[in-house]
Amino acid sequence: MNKVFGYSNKGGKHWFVSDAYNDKEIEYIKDPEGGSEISLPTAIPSPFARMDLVKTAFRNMAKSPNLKAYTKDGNVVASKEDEKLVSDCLDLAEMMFNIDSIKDKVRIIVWDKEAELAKLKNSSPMHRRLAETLELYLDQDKETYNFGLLKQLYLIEFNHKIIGCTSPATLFFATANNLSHAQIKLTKNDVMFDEHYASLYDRDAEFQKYLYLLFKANPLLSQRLTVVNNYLECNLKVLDKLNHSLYEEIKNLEVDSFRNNYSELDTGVTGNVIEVIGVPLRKRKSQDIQTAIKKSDFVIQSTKHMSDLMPLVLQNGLNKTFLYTNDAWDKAIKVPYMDKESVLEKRWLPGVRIQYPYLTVSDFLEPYLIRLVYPINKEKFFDGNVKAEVGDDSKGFLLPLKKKFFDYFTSSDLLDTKPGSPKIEMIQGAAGSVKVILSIPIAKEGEYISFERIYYQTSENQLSKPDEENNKGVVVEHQLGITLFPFIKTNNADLGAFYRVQLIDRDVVGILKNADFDLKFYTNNNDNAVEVRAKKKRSYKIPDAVNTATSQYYVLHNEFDYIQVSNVMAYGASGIIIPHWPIYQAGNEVFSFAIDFGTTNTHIEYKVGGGSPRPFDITTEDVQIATLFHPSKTTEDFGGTGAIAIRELIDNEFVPQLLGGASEYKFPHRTVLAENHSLNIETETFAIADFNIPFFYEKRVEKDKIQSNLKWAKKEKGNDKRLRAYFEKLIILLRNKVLFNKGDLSQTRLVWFYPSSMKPARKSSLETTWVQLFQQYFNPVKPPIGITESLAPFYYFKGANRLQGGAYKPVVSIDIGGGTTDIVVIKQNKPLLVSSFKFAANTIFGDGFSEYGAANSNGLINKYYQYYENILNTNRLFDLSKVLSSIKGKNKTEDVNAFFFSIENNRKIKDKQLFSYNSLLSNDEDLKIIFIYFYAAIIFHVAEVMKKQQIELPKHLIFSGTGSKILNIITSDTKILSSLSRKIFEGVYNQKFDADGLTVETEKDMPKEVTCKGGLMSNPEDLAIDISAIKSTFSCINGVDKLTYTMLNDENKAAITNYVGDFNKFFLQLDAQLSFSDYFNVSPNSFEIFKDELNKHLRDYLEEGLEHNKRLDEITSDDKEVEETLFFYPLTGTINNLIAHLSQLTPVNH
Amino acid sequence: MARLFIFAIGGTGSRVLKSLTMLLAAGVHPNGERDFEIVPIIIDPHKSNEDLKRTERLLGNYQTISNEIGSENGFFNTKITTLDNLVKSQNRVSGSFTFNLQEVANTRFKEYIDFNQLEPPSKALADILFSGKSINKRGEEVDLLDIEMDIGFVGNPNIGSVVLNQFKDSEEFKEFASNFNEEDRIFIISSIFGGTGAAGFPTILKNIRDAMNNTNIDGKGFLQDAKIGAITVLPYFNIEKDKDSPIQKSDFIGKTKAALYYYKDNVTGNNSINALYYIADDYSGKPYQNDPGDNGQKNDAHFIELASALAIIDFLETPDRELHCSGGKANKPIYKEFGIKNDSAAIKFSDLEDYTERKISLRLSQFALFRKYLSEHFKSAIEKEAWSNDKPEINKRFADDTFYRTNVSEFMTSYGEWLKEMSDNRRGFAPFILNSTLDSLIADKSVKKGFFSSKIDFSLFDDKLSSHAKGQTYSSAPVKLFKLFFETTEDILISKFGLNK
Repeated sequence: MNKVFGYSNKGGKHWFVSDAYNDKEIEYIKDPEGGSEISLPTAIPSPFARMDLVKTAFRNMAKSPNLKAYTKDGNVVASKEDEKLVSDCLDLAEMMFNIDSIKDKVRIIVWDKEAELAKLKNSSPMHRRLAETLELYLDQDKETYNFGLLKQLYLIEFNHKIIGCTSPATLFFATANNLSHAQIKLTKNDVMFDEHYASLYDRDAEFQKYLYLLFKANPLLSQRLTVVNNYLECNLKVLDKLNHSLYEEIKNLEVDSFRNNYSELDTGVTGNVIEVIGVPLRKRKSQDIQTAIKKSDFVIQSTKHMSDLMPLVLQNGLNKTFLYTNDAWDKAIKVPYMDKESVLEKRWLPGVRIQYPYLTVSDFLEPYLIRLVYPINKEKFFDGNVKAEVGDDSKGFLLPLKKKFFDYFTSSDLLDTKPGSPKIEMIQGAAGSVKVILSIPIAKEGEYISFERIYYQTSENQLSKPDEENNKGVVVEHQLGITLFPFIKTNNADLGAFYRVQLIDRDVVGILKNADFDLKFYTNNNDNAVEVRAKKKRSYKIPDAVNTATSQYYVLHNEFDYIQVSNVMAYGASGIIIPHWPIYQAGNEVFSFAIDFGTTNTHIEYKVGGGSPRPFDITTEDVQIATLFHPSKTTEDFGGTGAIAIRELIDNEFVPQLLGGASEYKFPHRTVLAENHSLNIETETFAIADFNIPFFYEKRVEKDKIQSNLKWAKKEKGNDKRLRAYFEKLIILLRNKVLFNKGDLSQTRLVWFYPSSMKPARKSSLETTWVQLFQQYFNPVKPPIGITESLAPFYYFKGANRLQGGAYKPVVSIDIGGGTTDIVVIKQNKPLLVSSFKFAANTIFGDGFSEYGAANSNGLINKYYQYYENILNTNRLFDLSKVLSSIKGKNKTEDVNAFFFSIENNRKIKDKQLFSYNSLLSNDEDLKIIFIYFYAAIIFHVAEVMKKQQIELPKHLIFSGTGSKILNIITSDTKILSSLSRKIFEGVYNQKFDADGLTVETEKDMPKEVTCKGGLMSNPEDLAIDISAIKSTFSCINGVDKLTYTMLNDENKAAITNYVGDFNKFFLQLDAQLSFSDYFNVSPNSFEIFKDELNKHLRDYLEEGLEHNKRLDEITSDDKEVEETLFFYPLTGTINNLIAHLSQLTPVNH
Repeated sequence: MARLFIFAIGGTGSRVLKSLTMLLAAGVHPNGERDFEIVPIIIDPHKSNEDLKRTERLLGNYQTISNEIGSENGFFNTKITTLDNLVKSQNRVSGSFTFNLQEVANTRFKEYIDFNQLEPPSKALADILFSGKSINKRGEEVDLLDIEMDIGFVGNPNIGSVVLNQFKDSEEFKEFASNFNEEDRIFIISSIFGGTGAAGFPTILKNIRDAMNNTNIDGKGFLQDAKIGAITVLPYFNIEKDKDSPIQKSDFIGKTKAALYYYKDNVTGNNSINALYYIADDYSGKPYQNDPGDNGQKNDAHFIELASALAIIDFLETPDRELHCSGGKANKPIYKEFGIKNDSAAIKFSDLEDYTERKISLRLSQFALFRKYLSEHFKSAIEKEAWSNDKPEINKRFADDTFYRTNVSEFMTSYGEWLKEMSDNRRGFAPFILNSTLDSLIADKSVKKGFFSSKIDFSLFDDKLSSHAKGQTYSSAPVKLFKLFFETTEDILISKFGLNK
């Protein structure tokens, strides 16, 4: 059989003429190993061998129907090596098309043929030889590789290594060196230069279109780069079947688009374009890729953030087929848990080389998770959907969200459960670990990206470091409490906003004892934190002192939606608190308030619309504060930590949860204000930040400084501020009451009271304060109305239908307060006469004219202090016992007495009778004469004034005010009091009552409340009467109507003491008409002493009284009229003296 | 006389040249328009290559013999000369057929081009053009730029193309160029799948065609349009599989195809060559030892090399008019392939096409017979047989002389080995039964046996020698030896074996 040693397949003999070996013959050569050889050494005898290899590879590949390695009839048509070479070339082309994505890593080096060859030839012989070889081949092989059209080669350096070069034969060719360092992804999930060789049709459609347009717009390329052109044609055939729409698109490409759709591709030097055989290449317009990404399934579905480049939200290990950039997501892509580039726009998308913003776990989740020492108050705060798979729910968590989360979502989005809202879940796991899952809605309908992080318990001795890069968080337990006040939002800026936020930090032990917290408040519509008007520290913790805690108060005049809590110490754990804000819904209800700001006690009544007045309260329905801890589920000792300060400081320094009703706190309440001992009153101060009303006063020991006597306190430093702070707190409570009960703020009415004896200047100052505060907090239609304290009770009794037979005849309203007694005589509903004097409860229960506290020497205190100390201790009421000694320590008789009176109303007292001061006193036969004397003096004076004004005998005496409790001490039978009163009137008038007689009306249990109620039971405007015209001051001196201090000479003073002496005689005669012993159980012994002491030192007491009151009323000029009767001055001294004597007679017997 | 400059590149070049030498020694003569003097130039960086050494030695012996006996005496009737022998010059030192590559010993390619001192753009270009890995002589994988070049450009013809390009600047090339005349021809032997040959062929070809641009040489015009023939030897043997060797069989095919594509565009495609001879064999025969060359590369002679040598004969027989060039391009390039009559694993003369057989069977048989006589009978015949004792005497003194003892004996031994190697190889060429009796020397030719025919043995041989020598005059003993034996063996083979002239 004939044999030819060759591949032409021609028959012939010996050396016969055949053909040059062309494709056919070459293909006919069989490869024994099937063309699988990849590491093929360069076989071409030319320095440009690599260009040739690529050219050949293109030629071979174009013969493969699917443009992959291809064997036909055992002949390798296109080898794996060919596939790689073409793929690498296309990778380079695609990289250049996307050069903007990798510009930080790429450098283009220009090799100018003429210049570089000339340089080489003028260099060393070695270089010359290289140059001459290159030149030889550039010349000899110019037709094959278009070297004739080659002016410059552009070498591509990536990561400082040459990876490829332009080729006049195939656009590009790649190095044979290892390219694993350049295995990046561009815009698709195809890794450049990897072992999965991508044919053109596998690639980014945009890139394909570009290549076709490049050839279409530049026919020179089709003519000269024929192998590439053939490849493109084959690719098109594949596309026709595989991706017909792209096929159509490519078919319809317009040449003009080449200029318009792409940007100039330069070497990095503008104008120095990269060309192949003189045809400039182009690149993707950077906005094109962004336009593509905007269609990504991963685009965050933000409810608020709108920007041109909405970030993608990416998750490690996601195995859903979402559209990523312009290709499907590949679950092998590693998404870093943390991207150190903080500017989102400067970030590079993972897995591909595209600069585009994206978000990952650490953008939204904090490195630390703050655990609290109590369960969160779920009804009022979002608890982060905690699930306790392990452990219990006794400790809640702050939301470990970073502020950035709220750039895209509002706090309400997180609370919203409807689809498309972000969601958070916290799952307690083993060993104190917590897994937090934050689901972020993305563009893909109904789909979420989950950010997950597990927080591990910190070690006990040293704070564990979180590892954000590996997604490991740390749980830290902080003993902190946060309370909001008021817990309501109006969403109406016109109404103003007045918030106080209390922050308690009780981290005093362990590794976190130096923690220092700061709060930032944010609204959903502003990236900047809400302005903190003031931030005040009231208490200070001391590390390792377990009974200490830091309290801070934030004063805010704006509403906010959520709070960021940060430990500002070095490591900085932060967390978010989202309140479930109730929203104020304005209604039409008109609220009316009456505030009786008294010397001893203050009371507030309110009514809604035309309803009946009731004491101000905070009920479970309108709790004004919101504590972060759960009020009932939190254990007594805060999970064993002992962080009870978190609860206690709310009552002590802030606002109580409940007021009135069954609560231990209620109005009327002692008129006291609390502040820190170290408060510098000269700095700017704020109510409920620097000051608060301590409702626990007289119930628990206060550690703060307690200011009492606010009403009459001399103009001392800070008094105005304190008074204002006191009023402000009240007003804020009232405002909140209206808000919580859907009232109409501006329609709210406010009535306040002042004693008629109050100086106009003082009254005007109070009035200004009320007006300003009311204006600030209510913006009312009608200003507040000031009413003299004594007028209102009349309307109460009248309204309560207690004045039998009406008010045709005069009714005398006597309001016995702590400091003053006010008298009003009303006839036919019109006040005829007003009088006021400082002869009131404190005359008996205070220190008399003593400038300083004199409780240590006070008779009542001496008599009853020991008693109370004993029974409190016997009944194991040690807390109250401490309160007692604390109040006693201040040495103010009125405060100690006030405490005695308050004890029976303390919640802890079961046997009220045992502790009732009232009943003790009413049974004290030695002291009884004092109370009768006190009462008689007032009635006598009223009768004298009325008689002088020629007013007929009254029909009713009505009593109100705290001091009218004295009536109870005298007798529980008002008829006896009526008799006594009638005798006094008849004595003064020297005239008998008619058949109507005289009745005494009082509210035994709530004498104080009567004023306020009365104020609300009439038209307040009717009560706002200028009383100066009917004010009457009885001079006690015949022929003198108006007394000035100048007129107080010895003669007139003697006249006054004589007048008092006459009264004393009148009083002693009463015993004959109505036996003190029989009717009132006055002990004979005491009555004897009383009579002995009664007329002693009257002149001295008058002088003391004058001195005392001049100081009190700041009388600087003696020309001033004496505004109250001097009748009571000597009596005050006498009573004080008598108590001292009488209290020693019989010890308390129990 | 016109000259044929033969560039024998690499191992294959040497071996084909050896086969040619054997053919010429045996008296195979091109029947062309004119006779050519052969000027072989061996190009191989691979100095320790055994094939190269053997070929060089063989050529030396050939030259000595032909100088001694001239070209009129049948055997050795074509003159082979070294390049430096062309012009008698006193400065000549070489005396070698081998072109000495400069600066390749112990040099890495990187150093050869002084890579480190290149300016950034050219450095970047060199980085990518010469990227990739290769395996050095210690079997370690190294960067291509770090490959040492003294073992040849094993598998890296792109590097070879740079290094071999120094040839154009060499004294040899200058000499060649300045001695090149219009009627001279050039033939280039290379294998396509190795390193040196694959690289050298285009380099030399291009440099010849590019001669106009070479400022160092004369005679450019003739060179540019020189009649150039070449044989490109495609894979024809197996090598042992050795994963650590840079030479892999599977590489051969891949590299061959890649290079053929390159030739298609840049050699044949642009008409650079006047006559290109392709030869290949896909016969899966006995593997050659895998040896990249550092320790020898001594491969057994192969029929393909003989056939390739015949291509040179063929080229020389091609008339001038078919090899015309203008502007450095062949006007009518010729491409040839080789065929035989029977696809035999051990080729005999009868398996060859008739022309081939006619061309070589008689002469090779004559030379084989000659060799057999010299090796088996010569010593016992001299000074006894008549042909020996006639003037000029071929006596013991002659046999002890360097010429016979060294040049002739060595050459004849080589011829024997060459034949043996070819016959042992697979595919083999085994026309002779070398160890047989005289009458069964030629495998497929039985001696004509007739009633009157005498037995063929050395005594017959001696008789024939004596009868041919009778009345003849010889200018010298060496001339007598070769001429007498040529005529006598021709006679015996035609008359007794029935071979044709």
